[in-house]
Amino acid sequence: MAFEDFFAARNRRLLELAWLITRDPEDARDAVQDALAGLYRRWSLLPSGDEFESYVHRSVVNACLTVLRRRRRWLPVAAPEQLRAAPVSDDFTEQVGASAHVWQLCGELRPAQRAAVVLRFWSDASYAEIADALGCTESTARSHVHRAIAALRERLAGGDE
Amino acid sequence: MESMEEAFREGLRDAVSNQPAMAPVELDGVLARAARPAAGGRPVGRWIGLAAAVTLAAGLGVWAVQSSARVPAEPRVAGTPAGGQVRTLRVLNDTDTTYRQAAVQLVDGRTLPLGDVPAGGTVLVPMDGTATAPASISIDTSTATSGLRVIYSGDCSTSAGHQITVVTDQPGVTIQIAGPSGESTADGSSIVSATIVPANPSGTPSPSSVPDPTYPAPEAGPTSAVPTAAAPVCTITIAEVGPTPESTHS
Repeated sequence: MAFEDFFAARNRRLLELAWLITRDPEDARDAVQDALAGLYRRWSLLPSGDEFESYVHRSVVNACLTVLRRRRRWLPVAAPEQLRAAPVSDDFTEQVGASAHVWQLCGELRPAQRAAVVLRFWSDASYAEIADALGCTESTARSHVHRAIAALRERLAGGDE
Repeated sequence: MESMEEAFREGLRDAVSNQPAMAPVELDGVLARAARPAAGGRPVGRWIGLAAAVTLAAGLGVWAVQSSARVPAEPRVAGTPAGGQVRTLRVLNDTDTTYRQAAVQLVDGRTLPLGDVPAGGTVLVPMDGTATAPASISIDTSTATSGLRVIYSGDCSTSAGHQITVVTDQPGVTIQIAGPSGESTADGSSIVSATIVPANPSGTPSPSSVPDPTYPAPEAGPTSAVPTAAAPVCTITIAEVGPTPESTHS
C-alpha cells in the first residue's frame, strides 16, 4: 500500500484517536502529523500485518504523550478569596450522564492511563497491543484499564446517590 | 464490569461524535514535516544539545556559588527530600533589587528555608509527594508596594493545569492579580503579576500583623537587605488543579 493510500484511509481515525488522548484539537493534529511524518520516513521499512498496526498505534500514542509532556496549560487566576475557598480538582460540571462521567474521568487520568483506556475501548486493542503501544508490560496495561473502570464505577455510584 | 466497559465505549463514541470542529491533517503538511530533520535525531543536534546542557549546568553552578557567597548560610532542614519532583520558581521584583527572604512549604508541612532569593533569581523547589500538593513560597512584604511576578514552569507531564493563588492573612494587605494575559517567557511559561499593597503606605508593618508561623526568622547578616523585624508575609500558592473542562462537553 502506498503511503498516500494509507493516509487517505486512516488519517481521520488517527486524528480522533489522538484527540481522545490529548483532548485538544491542535495538540491532536500536531501529534498525528508527527506520527505520520515518522511513518512516512520509515515507510519502506515498516513491518506488515499486525505488527504494522502495532507500529502505527505506538507512533500515534508516543506522539500524543510527547505533545502532552511539552504542553503548558494555564488556568486564569480569580480573586484570592475565591481561590482559597475553592477545592482543588473540583467537579466543574453538573452533568450526570454516564458519557459525561466517562469524558470527565478520562480527563483526570494520567496521559498513559488515558491512552490505555482509549486504545482499549475505542480502538478495541488487546492488552498486549496496549502494552506494546505504551511500552509497558501487559499487566501494567491491564492495571491502567481496570483502575479506570473502578473509578468510573465509583463515580457512577456516587452520582446515583 | 461489562456494563462499565460498555459505558466507556459509549462515552468515547459520544465524545468523538461531539468533538469540536478540527481541521483535517493535510498530506502536504505531513510530507513537509517528514522532510524536516527529527528533533535530536542527528548526531550534530545531539552534540549541540549536550553542549547547551553542560553550559547551562556550569552557569547554574557559578550562580549558586555566587549566591552562597553573598548571603548567610541557611540551616538545612532535616529530612528535606534530596530527589523527587523539582520545580522552578522564579521571583522577579519590578521595583528594586533587594533580596527577598523566601521559604518553601513542603507538602508534609515542613518549611524549607531558601535564604535570600535575589530579584530575578531562580529557586529550585524540591517537592516531596504527589503532584497535586501545593507548594508555597513566602515573600517579605514589609517594604513599600511591591510589584511581584511569579513565573512557574510546572511539570506538564500530566493533564492537570496549574493555578496560582496569592493569599495573605495580614489584615489590610491586599493583593491585586493580573494575568496570565498573554505575557509569557521565552520558554513558554506564563507570568502572573501580583501587586502587594501593604496596609500602611509607608511600608511599616502593621502592629496587628502576625508573621507566618511557618516562616523562619531571617538571619541578620552584613550583606542582607532583609529587615530583621518580624514582617508580614504573603503566601503565593501554586496548586495543580484538574483539567480544564472542554467547552463542548461542559
